[in-house]
Amino acid sequence: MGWPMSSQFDEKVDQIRQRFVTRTVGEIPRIESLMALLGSSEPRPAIDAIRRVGHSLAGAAGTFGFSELAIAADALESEAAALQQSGDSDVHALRHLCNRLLSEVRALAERIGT
Amino acid sequence: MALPSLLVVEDDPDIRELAIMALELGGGFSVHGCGDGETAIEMAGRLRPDIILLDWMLPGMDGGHIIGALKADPGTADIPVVIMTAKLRSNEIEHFTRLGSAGVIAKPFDPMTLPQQVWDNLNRARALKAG
Repeated sequence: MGWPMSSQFDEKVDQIRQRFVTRTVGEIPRIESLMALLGSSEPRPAIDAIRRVGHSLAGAAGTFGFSELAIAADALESEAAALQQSGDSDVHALRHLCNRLLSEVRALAERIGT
Repeated sequence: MALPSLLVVEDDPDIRELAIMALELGGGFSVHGCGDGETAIEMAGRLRPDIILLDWMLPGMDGGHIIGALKADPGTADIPVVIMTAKLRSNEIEHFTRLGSAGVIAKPFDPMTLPQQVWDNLNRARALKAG
């Protein structure tokens, strides 16, 4: 099987990509809430949730060609996973990487016009 | 001849839709999709697809549990399951193979080449089954 020449396909991909950006922008409040929980006495659920956000965004952003966002999400996932493995409670770097991710999401939203 | 059927299990709705569209248009598959393990196991038993494309990290039941359930059921045990995952390391490929996966596709995937990757995995699984 091969690819049919289809501008409809390209249009549909653009629609899905746009929807992904809108949805990702909609995740900003949740990511900010998770960041706030990092300062709590029990940050592990937030670290796990942040790792999942990073994992999900790294794969999806890369597939849609948003490489800067994919790199930021991948770094976030790696740091969260490292914290989970080590049991370390220093979330300074994780917080920094959350902010980097949020900056990339906002930059993407501006570029795409969401 | 009927189109080969495929089940895509991916929790991200945009990625799932993109994969389904790419596999239908570029791969000639008849594609069904779902976003969680419980539904995947139910659909696999009901639809008996020719191949399953399974995201490894899903909410709730993860890829390992889903493969285990599929392999434990004689009705779905023979369906080749291809894992989609990011952060691929060589020891993970060995782990997936031990669990019974037919292959691994790295994420992020390229929608233009995904259909051929799935075909390659399906053809390899069919060849192995034929002996």
